[in-house]
Amino acid sequence: MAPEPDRWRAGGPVHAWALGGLVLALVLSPLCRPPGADSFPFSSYPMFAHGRPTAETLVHHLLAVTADGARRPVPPRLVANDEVLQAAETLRKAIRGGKRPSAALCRSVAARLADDPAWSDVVRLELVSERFDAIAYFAGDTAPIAAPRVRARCKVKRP
Amino acid sequence: MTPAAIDAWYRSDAPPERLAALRLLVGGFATVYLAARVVHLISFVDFAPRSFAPVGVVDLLLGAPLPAALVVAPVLLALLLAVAFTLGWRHRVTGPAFAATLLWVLSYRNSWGMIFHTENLMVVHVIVLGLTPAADAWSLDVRRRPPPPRPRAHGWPVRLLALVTVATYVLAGLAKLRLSGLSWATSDLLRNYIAYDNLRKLELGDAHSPLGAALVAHGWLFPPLAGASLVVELLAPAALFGPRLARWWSLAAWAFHAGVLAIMAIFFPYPLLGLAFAPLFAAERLPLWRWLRLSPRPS
Repeated sequence: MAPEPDRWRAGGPVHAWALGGLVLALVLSPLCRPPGADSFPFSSYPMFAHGRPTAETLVHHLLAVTADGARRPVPPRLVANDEVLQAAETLRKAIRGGKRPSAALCRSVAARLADDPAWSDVVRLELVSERFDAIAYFAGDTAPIAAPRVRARCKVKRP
Repeated sequence: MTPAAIDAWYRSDAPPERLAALRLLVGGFATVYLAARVVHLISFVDFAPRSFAPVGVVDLLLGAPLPAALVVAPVLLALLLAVAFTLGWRHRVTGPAFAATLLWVLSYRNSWGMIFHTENLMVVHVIVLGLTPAADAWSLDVRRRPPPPRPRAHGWPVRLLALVTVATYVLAGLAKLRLSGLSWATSDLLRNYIAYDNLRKLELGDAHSPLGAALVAHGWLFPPLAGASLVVELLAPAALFGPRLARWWSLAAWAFHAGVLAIMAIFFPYPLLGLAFAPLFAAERLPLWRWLRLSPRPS
């Protein structure tokens, strides 16, 4: 094959192999990290890779409680943003931080909720951890398999 | 295979319109995606600093969250650059600038304790397109000044985009083998995960998949599903061996994402809209370009 006149031009062989080599090395770099290590945008894509050995599922959620004691979950957009996984992570981090961060999160969501007419019947929030059997849950047994643990409780204060 | 043969395969010739078509597809998707996600991307200004867990370039450059103005400004800049990138306006500047800004904005969004995996491939594709002569056809740059002749300059970026797509699927398959071994495909790991994921969504007040919730009662379904997804991921390199295999593999990978949407309510728009697989095909032949009057109608 005859040598190309300008190896260094944009789109030429040096550009092709340098950029290609660099990009592929970065894309494949997670193989050199421990299994499960993650980053962005160069990921090992571990999201589904762990699977779950049992159906036992710990859920942290923020429950809105009405004056008559009825409970319903506060949706992700009021906890963090429109991403459910971001909301789950926000709740998990607050609980792992202890009582003070849990109470602070509860109060900040209560303040957001107080401005929303769709939640005007809610009098308080509870940050609760509950353990379920996920397979039994979808077979109709929705009761937690252990007593719920309340991590924080706060009132919804309206002007 | 000799080095010369590898070079001939990697740097095979392709019309500049093929790379331009990919710029228009990926850039158009990125523009709509950013516009639709503006509120989400700036939502992090309200997050508690203790939730900040920087990743990627954000980890290299930041030790603490940014003030609100410096979160909002890059998002708006990325949106403007996305339009310039898509239209091919001053690509030598706006291509790399858009790639860098998009990388920053999406790395920042992933720096709050939860790494999402819906945007990785799009970002890497934009980086490749931004750093290659992707505006040598169907662009405002060409209208302003036709580019110099560049033999063999437009085939390898398309190959590189295809290699990146294939590599990400192989990585996802290898992650399953490294973390769970073959039991990922022979046990209840996937069934339990789908039940867990749907339960968590339901209890967190979000939309879940009623189909996934109903299917978890049938344990026998999940090992074959898990095995099939593993095979699709690990066999991704087959897509590089000609258009027929590319078509079959892309269809299988698309079906995998459709299945994830159906039973887990997780939407991966980039592959589901076909953009992840577009570099495996002659994208310049899409009827869309005739409709946009970019390519001539057949006589």
